[in-house]
Amino acid sequence: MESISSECTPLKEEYEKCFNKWYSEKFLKGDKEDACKELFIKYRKCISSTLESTGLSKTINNARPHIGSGFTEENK
Amino acid sequence: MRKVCLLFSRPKYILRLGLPIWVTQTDGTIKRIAKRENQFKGLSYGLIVPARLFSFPPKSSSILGSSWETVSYAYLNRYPNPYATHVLAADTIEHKFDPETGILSILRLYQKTNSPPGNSKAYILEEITIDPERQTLETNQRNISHTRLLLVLDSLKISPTAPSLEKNFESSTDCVIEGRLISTFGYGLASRIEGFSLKRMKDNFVKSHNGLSYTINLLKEKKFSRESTKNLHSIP
Repeated sequence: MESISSECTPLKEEYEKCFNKWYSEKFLKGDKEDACKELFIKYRKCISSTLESTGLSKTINNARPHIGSGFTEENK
Repeated sequence: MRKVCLLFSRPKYILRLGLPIWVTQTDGTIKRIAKRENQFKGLSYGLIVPARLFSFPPKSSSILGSSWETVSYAYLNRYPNPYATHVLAADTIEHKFDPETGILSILRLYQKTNSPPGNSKAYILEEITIDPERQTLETNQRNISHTRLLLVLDSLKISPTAPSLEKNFESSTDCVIEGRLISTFGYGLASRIEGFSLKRMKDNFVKSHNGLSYTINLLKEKKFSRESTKNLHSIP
């Protein structure tokens, strides 16, 4: 599946590959180590500009309290 | 955010107050109409009903003949699938793992084709919380575009089937989806729109179940082909 900004799709795929491996081999087995952080940061950085320029970033932050979110500013 | 109006009223009355309203047209599409009465001509509209939180949330559940591990993995990888061709793009915008509790929280953003048809794309936000110890995957989903018309909230829960119900499968997993529609524009929602949205919501539930089943089968096939070549993969 494509990323919202297609130029970020390769980074997204890299992160997802890492995530899936981590999810099934570590996370589900109770391993408490997060493995794909660096790949996620790289990928997240890439989509940030699209989120900002389209105004989606703001919309997301406004919507967040309404989905019962456990995400707060400090967790970013 | 949500305004509740206790007023039963006809659109005419709303128009006198100078408020914009949405109506269903005879061809079934939804249109925002202006504040002048004569523009009502040729449109079919229902009674304006009070804005409210639906007290009868539509609910839908399925039992999947796979382990919770497989179903949760499939859920996270469910796009693309042939039952979700309206999903154009998906991104993970937050990823948070708490090593103390072992709970994983993910925030995802989906870009979809707009329905009812319009010129812009629609966006959905989904928060996913996974607890591997309790074996639960829970999500909350909502639209973040076109919210002036309607808020569509979905929640989904994937958890192992209670042992007493688990007769037919080696292991099986429940997937329960619940939806809520909330009108957000103060003076209510035409009953036609309610009916239309409820029906669409139920159709979407079926698509979600089918999409998930499809992904599970795909994973099983992949796993099988990999195992047969002695190249074990990480699919649970």
